[in-house]
Amino acid sequence: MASAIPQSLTSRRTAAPPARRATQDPAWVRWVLTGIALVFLGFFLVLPLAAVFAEALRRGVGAYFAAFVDADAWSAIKLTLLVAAIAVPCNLVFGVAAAWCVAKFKFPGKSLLITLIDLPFAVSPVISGLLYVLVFGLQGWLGPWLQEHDLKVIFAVPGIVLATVFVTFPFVARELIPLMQSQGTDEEHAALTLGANGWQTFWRVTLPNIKWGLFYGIILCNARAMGEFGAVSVVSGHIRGETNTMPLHVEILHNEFNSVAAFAVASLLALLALVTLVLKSMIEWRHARSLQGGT
Amino acid sequence: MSIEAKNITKTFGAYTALNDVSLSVPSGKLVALLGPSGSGKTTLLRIMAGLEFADTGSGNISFHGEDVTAVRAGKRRVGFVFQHYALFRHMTVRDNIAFGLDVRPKRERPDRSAINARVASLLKLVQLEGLEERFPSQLSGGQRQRVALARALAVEPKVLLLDEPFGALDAKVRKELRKWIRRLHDEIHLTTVFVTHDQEEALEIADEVVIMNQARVEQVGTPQHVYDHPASPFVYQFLGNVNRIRLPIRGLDGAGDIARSDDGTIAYVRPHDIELHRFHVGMPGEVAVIRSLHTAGSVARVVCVRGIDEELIEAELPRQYLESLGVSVQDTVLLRLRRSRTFADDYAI
Amino acid sequence: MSARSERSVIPGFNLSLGFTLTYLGLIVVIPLSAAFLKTAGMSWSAFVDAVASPRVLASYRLSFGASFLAALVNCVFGLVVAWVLVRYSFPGRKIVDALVDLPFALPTAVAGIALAAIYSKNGWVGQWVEPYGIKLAFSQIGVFIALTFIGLPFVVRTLQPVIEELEPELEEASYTLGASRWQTIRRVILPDLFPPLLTGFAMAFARALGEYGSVVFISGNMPMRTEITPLLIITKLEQYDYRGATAIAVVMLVVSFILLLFINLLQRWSRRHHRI
Repeated sequence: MASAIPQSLTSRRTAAPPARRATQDPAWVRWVLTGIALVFLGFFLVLPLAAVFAEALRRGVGAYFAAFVDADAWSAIKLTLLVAAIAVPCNLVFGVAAAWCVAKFKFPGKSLLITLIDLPFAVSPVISGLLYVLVFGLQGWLGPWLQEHDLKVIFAVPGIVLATVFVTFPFVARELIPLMQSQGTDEEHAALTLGANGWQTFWRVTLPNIKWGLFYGIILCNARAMGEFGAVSVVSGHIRGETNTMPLHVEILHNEFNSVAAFAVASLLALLALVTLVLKSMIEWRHARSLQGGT
Repeated sequence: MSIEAKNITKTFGAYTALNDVSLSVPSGKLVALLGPSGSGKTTLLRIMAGLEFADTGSGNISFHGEDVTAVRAGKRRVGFVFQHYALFRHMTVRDNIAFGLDVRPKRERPDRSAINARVASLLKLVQLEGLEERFPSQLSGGQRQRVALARALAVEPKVLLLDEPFGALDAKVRKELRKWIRRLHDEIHLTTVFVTHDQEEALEIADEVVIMNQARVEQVGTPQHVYDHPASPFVYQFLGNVNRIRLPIRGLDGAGDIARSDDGTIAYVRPHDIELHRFHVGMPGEVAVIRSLHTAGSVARVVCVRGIDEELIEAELPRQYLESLGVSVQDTVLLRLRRSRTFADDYAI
Repeated sequence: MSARSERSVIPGFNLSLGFTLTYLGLIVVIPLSAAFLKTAGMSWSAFVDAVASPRVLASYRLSFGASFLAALVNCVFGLVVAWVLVRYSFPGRKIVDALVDLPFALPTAVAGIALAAIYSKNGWVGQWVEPYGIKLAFSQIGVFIALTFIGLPFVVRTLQPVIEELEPELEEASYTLGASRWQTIRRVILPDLFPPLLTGFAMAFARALGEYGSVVFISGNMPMRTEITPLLIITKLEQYDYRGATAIAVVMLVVSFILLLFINLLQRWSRRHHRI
């Protein structure tokens, strides 16, 4: 059960700081440590975030919005939304199915399965892209066949979707597995003894119990899907207006020294990140509350 | 409806939870499955409910003569109350209770008003009127327990199965609830099986007690019978306090001075089956010295040390009687056993 | 694997496991095996040439070295941040806590151009050190900065739940036995934090090894000097050297899997250690 992402709703509880007691550090220690932590986070987190918006607005609001008038920018935004709209539901269905069989049943090879689910987190994004080039590229396994049938995967949208599905593969599953394991099977058993069938049990008992974990997984999955750079970069071919997602468009603008436009598009992605963090904190907060009042 | 379990064996890997267990629960009775943890009682209950399955080819379960081994849990018409209630935490009390009716296929489902009426009458039965809109997290343990019971009863089950129904409650609520369950049973006469590890609970409310140990049934009988005539040393020790006294002893079975010759065997004697007398030379009985007296409560407990091997023997007698004897710690007394039991193959020390 | 060892009343096992295995096979297992099969077709000497040429070796040195240093720095500061967030209260604590996840949420390309902007010689930070001849962006330091950013949440998020669950009674017991604050930290608290710290380190290190997006904008990408291994894979691909790219990828994959295994064992060990 390794994870490249240690966070999960089940492990994240924003606990209230404990009341003052003997285990509290002296005031000066608290001040110094808090100071170190804040300076460190300031340099590494706050500064880059602020820089995105500062650079984007450096030439004023007009120049900022001018960046979005560009047709290529629009097509990049649309492609990014499309890719996320395919990749996230795919991994959502997979995540629920995987969590259902892992959490509710005993079978041999279970821990191997969990490790395999985690595998994409351990693979460098660049290599993820490469893998699909090896399968679908011209030199790859299916390349000749695809060319014969005039189908394009690599340097086209399907390749981008596949690479994105790969890098966001574990998000929902690894959110749900520990959650469903901790909830056990009692409620499902109760539903079954009361005469519910399998789907009724799933929709009416299991799903409502995991909905926050599900949202949490979707949000993280979506953030990564929209922001993926390395894997998509390998399979995209960087065709302007066709196979450029927002992060790739940012790169192109940056390489053309069109800094304001690059940061303007980047600011949208940064906003997405901020929204993700806000939603994530809200879910954690809700979850902590439901744990306190839980049965 | 009666329940019949025949030759049930259940193994989890190398561990045997049930070893060729057969049991029959008569119709309309309240039966306790009693045993220490790991004795297999919960597994047996879950197999009756259809939540677990016996090892393939190892026997069957029938309800009222009808084989239900292959019938799935939802069709067996059992009401099952889980140890930790398993209430649906995102549903209100009303929705929890109505669940079993709501999930029926459309043509079998009662209409809304009938369901509401059923929920209302069940809430009245379990004395929780007015709590329809609460969520499980807003209820006390005892209330949750009763909601779980109402939910199980809503589908009009033919048998009611309860897994450690009082296990998660504090002592006071436990006592109230078990009396209430007994009254409820007298009202609705539903064949009921409950699992417990608390002998007091089983003896107090069950019509019949099934004592289980190490994947087997040790004894079945009325509370009175299993308490008075334990079938094995295990049952003796599991039900109530017992003295294990190594023979020989003078004053066995109230028979005066006769010493049994079978050295080394163990006699099982309940503390209240021991008589205590002031020591007089020539009087029959085993000589012992009082080690301590516990007189808080309606019966007095006296711990004595037997003279010959320093074995501790505990006796229970009415306080007034003890007071009338006028004995105190370190006094020498005579013990006589009113009733005792030995088991032929028990060589345990 | 589809053999059912125990019958269960809950339905849907065959459906869910079947779907899971199919999807896993198509998306993950088959593409991964493509890399290994492709490499298996290479001769040994060609493989060694591809994965051990001076330029590739230089990229390993940079990738492993910078990742190691970045993970180490994150251990030190991550410990402080996690401790402060769990144990102390200060205004804005919740916001800071949420912000720790920024490197997960912020697309790496955005992080890359932002870091490059700050640490380049005209940037907010870069301009202050530039007069002393220190170059932050477009140097190996730049790689280290980007990898520190990317690894930051791992250590904090693995430590936080463990610090939350540290029983105050343990510390109190230590005081009543006459230990000083420092002795208590060193002998009671830190030993408990060591397994998650190591796990966090391994995770941050593994993530940094494969990182691409945030690094390429700040590193300058000079062969032999500031070229990380993932970039080299892309370079080879752009030169249509699929075999060379795949060979390096296989080396990286093997390292990643070993790290994954190590993290797995660590977590299992630390769970057992924690449970007592």
